[in-house]
Amino acid sequence: MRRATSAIVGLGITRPTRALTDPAVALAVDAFALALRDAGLRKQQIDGVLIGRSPLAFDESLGLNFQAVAGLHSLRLLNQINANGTTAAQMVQVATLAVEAGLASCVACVFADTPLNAGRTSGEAFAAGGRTPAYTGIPGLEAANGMFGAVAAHAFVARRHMDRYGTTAGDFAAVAVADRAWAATNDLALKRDPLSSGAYFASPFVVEPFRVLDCALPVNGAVAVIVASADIASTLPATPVYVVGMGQGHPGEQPFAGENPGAQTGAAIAGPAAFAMAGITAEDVQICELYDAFTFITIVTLEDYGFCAKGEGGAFVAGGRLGPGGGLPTNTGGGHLSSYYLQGMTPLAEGIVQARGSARQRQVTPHDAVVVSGSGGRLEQHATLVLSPQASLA
Amino acid sequence: MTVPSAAPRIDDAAPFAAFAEGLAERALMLQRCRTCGTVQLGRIRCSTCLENVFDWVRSNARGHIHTFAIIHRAYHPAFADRIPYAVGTVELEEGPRIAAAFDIELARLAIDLPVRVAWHRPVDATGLVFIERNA
Repeated sequence: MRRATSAIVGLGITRPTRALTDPAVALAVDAFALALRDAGLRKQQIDGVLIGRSPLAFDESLGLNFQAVAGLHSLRLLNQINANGTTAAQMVQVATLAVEAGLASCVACVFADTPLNAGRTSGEAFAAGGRTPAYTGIPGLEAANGMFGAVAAHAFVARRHMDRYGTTAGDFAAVAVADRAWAATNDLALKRDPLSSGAYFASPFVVEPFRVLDCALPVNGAVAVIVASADIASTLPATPVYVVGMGQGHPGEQPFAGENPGAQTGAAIAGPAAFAMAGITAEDVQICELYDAFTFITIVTLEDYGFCAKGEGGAFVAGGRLGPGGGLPTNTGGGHLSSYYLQGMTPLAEGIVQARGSARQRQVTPHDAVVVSGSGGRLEQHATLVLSPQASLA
Repeated sequence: MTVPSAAPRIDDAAPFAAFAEGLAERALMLQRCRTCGTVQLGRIRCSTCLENVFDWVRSNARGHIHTFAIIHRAYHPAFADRIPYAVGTVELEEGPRIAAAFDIELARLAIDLPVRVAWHRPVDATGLVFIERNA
């Protein structure tokens, strides 16, 4: 069982917005500055930088040039992590491993995305047109058929899950309603007015069975997280958040191969691995912060993490279990669906806030075992973190 | 007068030219690895044995719906007047799954519905269209 010798010591979030902003690299520096202030660090103390951005980003401004724009010198670690929706979790994993091995001592993980700066609508921003890989292998076939982007790809999997296990749109509604209930007291959340099941069903279809309210809220924004050695963490004011469990799972070729493609995701590999590293089981998890680009992803992730049996995710979420007062508080800031969609930085940021005990009105107690997920591609990549204010859950 | 945006077309460049050329001659062509015999589509290296020589073989162009979804938004101007329309994947009798458009009444769409390629496809279709068949 793992005892962490590094910790998350800083968190910075620019205000998520649908308005036009400066380019992504500038927002990344803004989030970095906020994280430094949060941590009580000077930028000269940062000796490692990891950079992430959406692979569909129309703003090419953010890359390794972040170092030059932020005016950083003498870095001992510098890389760009490109792992789709698992990038956020993977940056924290890499930073943790690097610091604990002595490669660096104080690593900033920065992510920024400005999908709405090109004047596109939210839906257009991630439809990506010809930039989507040819999953069939024949370039242009999906687009020629009229299939564009991630919404349809996830809807394909959801349809099979509904057909095979009886999952319903009502189960999707339960996820959306729970996210919105948690968003009510998160002043960074874009949507805070209460959502009823009736209002969910009144929302128009985007790609059936998904409605507008099944889909995440793209924003322009940035999040930065700083990972430091335990020695440095002990000198800083904030409550350290330890990464006590890590895992990844990438099953491969989900849309077009396998017995039950997508209906069991990489979460079935990543989750148990992270729990085992932390010395816990699903029963010990107190708070879930799950990558919910679509309501359906929450359902299938909970199944694959072992909170319930495969196929029972719909019933598991249907009774209000995920919302305030429920048995498994999930997406306690509103998730990607009601707060803001920054590709996995959203659940990571909220997980840090909860683990610190600084979530105020939406604080869940106890908060010793917080699981954070990342889902990438078309349910092809998955990464898991277990966060805790304890360095070990032994 | 504005020129309507043309629908995306299946890429007919190498190394998969035989696929698009096959469609023009009412043939759904698949790749068979010359080393291990695995039938697949859209691969530049064999998914089983990593070899790089394929023969193009003609499929029966029949299969079952593996999954589907109904598009209600115009993600591309060429499809604006077709919404709502259905796309999905078909599992062909030979094994591979393939991206599909469906010219089927929306209420009849179902997983495992038997389908075949519609060679008489809608005139504005640029993709691979399947229709229902008797099992």
